[in-house]
Amino acid sequence: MLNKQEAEAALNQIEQTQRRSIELIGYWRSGIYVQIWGVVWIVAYMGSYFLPEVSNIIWLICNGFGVTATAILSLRDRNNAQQEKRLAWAMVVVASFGLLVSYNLLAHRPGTLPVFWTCLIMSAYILAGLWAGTRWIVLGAAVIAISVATYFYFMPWFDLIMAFAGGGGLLLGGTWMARAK
Amino acid sequence: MAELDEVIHQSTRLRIMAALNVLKKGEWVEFVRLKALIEASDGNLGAHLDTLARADYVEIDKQFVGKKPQTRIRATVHGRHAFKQHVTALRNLLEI
Repeated sequence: MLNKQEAEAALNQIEQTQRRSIELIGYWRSGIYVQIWGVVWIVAYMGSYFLPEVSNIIWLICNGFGVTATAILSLRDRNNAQQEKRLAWAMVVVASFGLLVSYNLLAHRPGTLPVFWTCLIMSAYILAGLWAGTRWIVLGAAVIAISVATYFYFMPWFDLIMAFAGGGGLLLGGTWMARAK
Repeated sequence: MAELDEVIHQSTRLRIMAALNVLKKGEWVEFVRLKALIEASDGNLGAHLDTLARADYVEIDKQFVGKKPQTRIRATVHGRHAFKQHVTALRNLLEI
């Protein structure tokens, strides 16, 4: 027969294991989405660097691919836990805000929009990290730091740096999350 | 009245059942990932999984993915129910 202290210790052990499991399982399920967007960024930024005159079309196609792939995977995982649904909605809300600002509020100056969007989406990653684990926060903060530093100091190579450092960072970050231990 | 379960009560098996109960019903988890979830060694985890499987609390599936062997585990309906009963019994103890 257990005493109260032993019962409390066992319940704490259950709670700790389940908290850790929710965090790691969340990383494993989400890693593939981050990897997809890493590939999208690599292709789109590389395309923008070499073919700047059709940059908008390249982004439209790449984003279309990213959204479609994300939607297909989300449908496959439609029984996701409530926690993951909350994260997805947080991203939808932030992206909607970004669209609004892009078309109405932000002055259109060269280079401003890519940085703005990068920071906005990565802020959503940081926001997600508040619920889902610190790896989201590390990933979001690192990409924001790269894009802002590039914007201020290496603007002529912005697309190229973002392809490798931004897209590559997401790809590595996605792998880091998918293999979280 | 819920009663403590002697099979689940052991610390590693308690953590295994706690982790498996986070997964969706019927969802499998690979051995290496379960090992990461509960922070156990290969041998330790394997031995306790055998005990849980003998009690029909978990199902173990061994297959080959390409040429690589892969072991997957999931909690059975019976196992989930037993874990729930065990947690209720622990909570009841706190209220005495």
